Amino acid sequence: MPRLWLHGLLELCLLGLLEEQRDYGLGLTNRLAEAGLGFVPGGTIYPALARLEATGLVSSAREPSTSGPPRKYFELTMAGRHALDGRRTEWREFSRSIHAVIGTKELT
Amino acid sequence: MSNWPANFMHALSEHGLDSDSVQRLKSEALEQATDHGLPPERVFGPATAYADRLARALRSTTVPPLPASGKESVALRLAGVSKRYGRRQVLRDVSLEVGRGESVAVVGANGSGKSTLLQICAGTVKPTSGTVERAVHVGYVPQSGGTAPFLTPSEHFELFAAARADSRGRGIATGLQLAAALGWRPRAKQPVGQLSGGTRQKLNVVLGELSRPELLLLDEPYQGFDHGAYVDLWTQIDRWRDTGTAVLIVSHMLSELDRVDRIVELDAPEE
Amino acid sequence: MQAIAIARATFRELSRRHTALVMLVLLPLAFYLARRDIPFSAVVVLALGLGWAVSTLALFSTVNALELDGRLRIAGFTTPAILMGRLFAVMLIGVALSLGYLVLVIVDQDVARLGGVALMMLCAIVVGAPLGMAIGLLLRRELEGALALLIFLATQFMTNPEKLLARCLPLWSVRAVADWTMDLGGASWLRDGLIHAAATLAVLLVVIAFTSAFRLRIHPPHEVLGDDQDVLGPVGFDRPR
Repeated sequence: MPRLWLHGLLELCLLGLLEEQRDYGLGLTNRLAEAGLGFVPGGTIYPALARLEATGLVSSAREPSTSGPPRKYFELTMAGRHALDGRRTEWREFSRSIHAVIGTKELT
Repeated sequence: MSNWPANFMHALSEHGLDSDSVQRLKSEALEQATDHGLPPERVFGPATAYADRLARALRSTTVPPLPASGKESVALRLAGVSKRYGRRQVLRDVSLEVGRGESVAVVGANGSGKSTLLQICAGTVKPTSGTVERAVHVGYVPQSGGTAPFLTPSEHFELFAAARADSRGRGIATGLQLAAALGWRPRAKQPVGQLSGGTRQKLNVVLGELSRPELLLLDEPYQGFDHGAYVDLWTQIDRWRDTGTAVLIVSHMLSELDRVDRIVELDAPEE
Repeated sequence: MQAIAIARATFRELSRRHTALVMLVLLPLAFYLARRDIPFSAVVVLALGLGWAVSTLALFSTVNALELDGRLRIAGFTTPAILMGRLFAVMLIGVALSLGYLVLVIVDQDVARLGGVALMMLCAIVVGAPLGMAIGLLLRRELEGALALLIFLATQFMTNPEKLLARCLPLWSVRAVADWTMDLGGASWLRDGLIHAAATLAVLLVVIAFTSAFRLRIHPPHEVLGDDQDVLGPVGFDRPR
């Protein structure tokens, strides 16, 4: 159900999750599901992460894992933190306008 | 059973990625699939589609910004331009302006003179009345044709880059980079006559962009493009615009119109 | 330089058309073989055939490049660079062919004035290439251009060189120089021949200049927008650094 809205906001969510804690692909998938955003398929998440990395907002590192093959971990860069702050503000203003238009009480 | 890794690697190299990157991406994908505990086609979907999305995501912006120009912020200005062939009035009193860092779309019914307008902007056709002002450094992408069938794409890059002293010698490298932004890896010895129509049009787009013009004129450049290439083209146009180029595009694909800064509509042909 | 880039591209393009190249070699050779037993005739038709081959090459190369040339102009190539580059590439191929034919003549014929044979071939190339280009620019289509060329060249073969009609044909110089080369006429034939070649070349270059100025024209804008330093140079000149 959230898929339509999530489509434009996936990168923002990933930046937010990575700000909390660095993680790898499957970890981020699980955390998105736990947050109530449903299951986001790998075919969508990994290109989004690749785009964030290509534009310098996120960096990656391969680490050997105890329980299997090496894992690619992602974490925010300085530029990523700045971008996240900026997008947070934009989102706050945007959602405020939407609330006003559709007449819901604003959720703080 | 389809061989997902092999298909994935093939599709990635078709997008212009070098073999080291292809190997690395394949290994990563397989590792990630193992994490998920599922076969790769369940995690990522079809190999070619995933490779398409991933390759596009990996393309970094390679467009160098234009040097901040001196005084004039307008790169093209038409005032009262009309064109008549004998008794046929093709254009009547068209005025428009395109500033640096702006993209403008020209739309109109078939026969409304869109291509003629672009040729007047480029200078290959003289208007019957009205004035044309434009920047010196112009790139032009025709709807089709305008290439040499027996030369390879790289030889085209070399030739077109030789026009200006400041781009000579870097033509092939720049051309290959610009081709990659459109998801195309030109094969070394393949003459252009053997390319499909859509690929030949990608060559046309690259040749128009090659010498980093101040004003880029595009005449429905997407003939034969599949959806991916079409998306890439508009991404590229946004990049040119964001780095200071003035872009004028004739388009009848009206769904992209919210991406341009302004739209100019030409009147339907007079009966 | 621009002209060199055009010449290189044209040369590459033409050298990839292997079948055409084979036929280009065969054309003069076929003429030669047909008249081999008459030494004067053999050498003349060899040189005329060379002229024919070179002008056909120039014609088709010009016509096929018309669309590309328009784009090259917008990209910043000057008209002289485009035309001279293309002409040079075609003439270079002509010279390569003529070297082969010269060897043939040395080996197969007994000609006293080899320099004369070389001059004949030079006339054929120097007149033939611009002839093909001029027709290409004027008529802009392959069939019409090929027919026009045919009219000139076939008539050349069939007229008597003394007649006035013959002197009006582009490759008359080849036959005139041939007369001197084979010792059938005095040095006046050589002189007349070379003058004719030079004059024909001049006329053809004028035709080329005028038609190309018209066909490959980029109408300058009423005003140039941009940095000051660009206002002076027309498109195609190097910008001062």
